[in-house]
This record gives sequence, structure tokens and C-alpha cells, in this order.
Amino acid sequence: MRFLMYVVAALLPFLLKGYVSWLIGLALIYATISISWAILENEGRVSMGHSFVVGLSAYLSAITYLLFNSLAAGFLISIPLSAILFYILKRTTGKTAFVFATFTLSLLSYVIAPYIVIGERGGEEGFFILHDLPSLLFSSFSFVASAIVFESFLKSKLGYFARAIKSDELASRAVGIEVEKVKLTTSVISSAIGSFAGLSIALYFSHVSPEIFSLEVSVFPFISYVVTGGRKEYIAFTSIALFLISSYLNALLTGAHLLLYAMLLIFSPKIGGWVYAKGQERLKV
Amino acid sequence: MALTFLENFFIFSVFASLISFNFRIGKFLNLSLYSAFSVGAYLVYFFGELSVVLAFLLSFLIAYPLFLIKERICRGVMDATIVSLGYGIAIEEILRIGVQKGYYYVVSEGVRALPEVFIASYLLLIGFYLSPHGIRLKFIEEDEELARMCGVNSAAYGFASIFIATFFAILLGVVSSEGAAIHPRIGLSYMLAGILIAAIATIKRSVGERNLVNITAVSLAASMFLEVFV
Repeated sequence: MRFLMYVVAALLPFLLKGYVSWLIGLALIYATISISWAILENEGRVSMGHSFVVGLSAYLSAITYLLFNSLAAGFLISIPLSAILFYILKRTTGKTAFVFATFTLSLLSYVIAPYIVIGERGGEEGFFILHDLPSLLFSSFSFVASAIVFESFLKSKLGYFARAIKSDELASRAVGIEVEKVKLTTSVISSAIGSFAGLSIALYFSHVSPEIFSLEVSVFPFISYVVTGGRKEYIAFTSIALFLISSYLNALLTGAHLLLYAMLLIFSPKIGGWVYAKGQERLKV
Repeated sequence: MALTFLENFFIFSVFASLISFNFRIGKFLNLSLYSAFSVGAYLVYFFGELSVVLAFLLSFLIAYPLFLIKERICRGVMDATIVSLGYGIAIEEILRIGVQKGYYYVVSEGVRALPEVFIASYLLLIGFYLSPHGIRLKFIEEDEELARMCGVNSAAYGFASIFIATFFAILLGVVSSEGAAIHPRIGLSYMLAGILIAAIATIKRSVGERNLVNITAVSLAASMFLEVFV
């Protein structure tokens, strides 16, 4: 059923026209970012800096396009780079410190990005990518492919191992789960999906600017997860809904969507606690 | 950051010491401090010298709700940190919506006291650590739960840490925004520098006033690095 819903969501931009089609196309990219985030969360790692994965891919793609006329080169380099970085962070930090580290990483990239200048291009303005590729088709395809990988991951042995590590890392080691291998694999999958999303954004706007590393992109997957009420299998749909609501609010009053994000962040522990209590109720029944 | 070496040093060391103090006593990484800095920058634009008095009132209005939310709904460091980020974004957006212009340029020379803020914040924090409260603060730093069991009012110290951090972050915004084009995210890069410096300073695992000395040394090194390479 969910698979069908993914396909319908991916087809929507082609069935609709004009601004709505464009907006849903962009919502699909944000949903892809959330899927990439949810793979890490499945292992118990809350990333508050997922804009780094997305931004790195978009920036490297734009730079290699500028230098070598190749988008793929930058995109392919970005996957192992972010995967290794996230794996190192997982190895060197605990669950709480991982939140701080990823947040600091995204903030650092946001501050550094305006200083990236190649020739006379880049800086605050960013890089332009002049292409005639079907960006909407690419975004929709990336979304469906990521969603299928995500669903398969959740139901796979690897997904269960990751969930076991989330519950108790030491016990997982004791029962023979190769914790480091699982951590590395989830980092690679998450980075690959996040990098696809980054490339999709670069193609969609034909432009990459430092704003891609912004706080909004970093906190968006977490907020989408809060809205799901802890049921990460629905994160793609809540992301699309949240993105559309945010765009509507932003159109009403510039910045109003960020107030919504802020409120959801502030009350996230309460929402999480309520969801937990509801889950316990369901278990009793 | 077109600031001189000394300005960098003062801002970095104050910001890092506030972040560290809030983290060690309040038990969370207060990510709303960048917005407090921005509030200070807007205060000096609109109110000039009066902004120092207003900073005190505003810091209470900002710190108390954050403390209440943290105490009532957060279950740990991670929750409180995420809540503080949301709180920071909320203040930022209220500023953005409230003052509709994109940028303001502060040309007033009314308030210019960065070294004084540096001295005042360090005197207050070191004085706090060397006073009879110091032993309780160090106890909270080492083990908050045990400190609470032994009768230390860790909640009161937690609120004090949030209030002091917010107050000095606003003051930093007030005294360092002259000549700057201010916008609601003006404090973000300073907070980032503060987090990095505080994190590096903790490598030595010192507590209390010794940690403040480490922060000063790392801030000095960071300012020199920026002076030479940027």
C-alpha cells in the first residue's frame, strides 16, 4: 500500500501543472532528505546537520560541473566523503554528542560556504548549473528509488540489526552483531540517498547557494519525524505534507513557516512523550 | 568577520565561556544564545545606551520561559538542546517578522564597551566559582544527580546559568554591533565559534575556573589563527 502511495506521490507533479507541480516536485526532494535522515535514526542517531550531506553533494556537483563539465563526478565523490565523516562521528561520539557534532558540522559548512570561490564564481551568490536535464523526472525517480531502498532497509536483516543497536549497542555486540559494519553500511546508504537529494536540488534550481546548508534544511527531517509521532515509515508523507504547509504559511507571511518549525522543535519532547504513552496504551489493549 | 584580533578574542572567549557555563550547570547546549546576541544588536540600534538596562529585563523574559520548558518537558540533555534550538529559531523569526527590513546598519557610537563586558563576565563567573557557591557549582558539574540528592538546589543554579548566559549574550550583541549590518542571524557564526572553542577547551577535562582559563587560551589561539589565515 505504501509503495503505491510513493508512486502516486511521485506521479503527482506530472499530473498537475504550473506552480503546484513545481512545488510538489520540490517536496519530493525534501521527502528524500527525510528518508536519508530516517535511516540514521533507525540506528538511534539523530542528525541535526543533514544539510551537510545534501549541501556537500550539491556543491561538489556544481564545482565539478564548473571545472570539468561533469555533475556525476562531484556527486560520486560526495557519497564516500559524507559516509566516512558520519561514520567517524558515530565512532567518536555517543548518541547525545552526535546531535551536537552534526549540528556544529552543518553550521560550520553554512558559515564556510560563502567563502568558497572558484575563479570569479561562488561566494554568497553560489554556483549556477546550466543544463537541460529533466530535473523533475530525476527528483521523482530519486524519491521513489530512495523510498523503495528505505522500505527494504526497514524490513531487512540490516534494518533489524540497526534497530537492535539503537536499543542497546553493548547487547547487540554480545549477540554477535557486527556493530561497526552496520554503522558503516547505514552511513553509506544514508549518505547516498542524501547525496541524490543534493544533486536533485542543484538540478531543480540550476543553482547552488550557501542557503542549502541552512538551519531549515538541517531541522526539517527531525520535524517531519516529530510529526509522524515516531512512526518513521511514514516520514516521506509527513515531509511532503509539512513542506506544502510550510510553503503556504511562508506565502501568507514570510518566515511564518519557521515559527511553525520552532514550535514543533520546542514541543518535540512533549509530542514524543505523548506518542510513547499512546504506544503503551496500544500495547495494553 | 571583519573584526580586529582583540575584538575576536573578546567575543570568542565570552561566548565560549557562556556556552560552557550553561552546558555544565544548566545541563544543555543552549543554542538560543545566537538569537540573544541578535536581540542585543537590535536593541542598540533602536535604544542606544538604554539598551544595557533593557538587556537585563529582556534576558529574564527570554531565560525564564526557556528554563520552565526545560524543567517541565525535557527528559535529558538532547531534548533540552533541541528545545533551545527551536527557541532560538522562534526568537529569530519574531525579530524577522517584527522588524521587516532585511538589514539595519548600526552607526551609533553610544555603546562601545567590549573589553568591559569581557572583564565583567569573567569576573562574575570566576567570582561565582571562588565564592561559597563554587563548591556546589563544581559538584553539579561533576554529578548533578548526586548534587541534588545531597541537597544542592541544582534547578536554581540551572536557571542562574541560563540567565547569565542570555544576559551576557545580549550584552555582547549590544557592544559589538557598531558599524555592523545587523540581521536576525548575526550571532550564528559567533555561537559556532563559541561551541568549537568550548569543545576544544574541554579536552583538558578541567572544571570550574580552570576551564575558564582554558577557554581564554583557546580563544586567543583561535583569534590568532583567524588573524593570520583569514
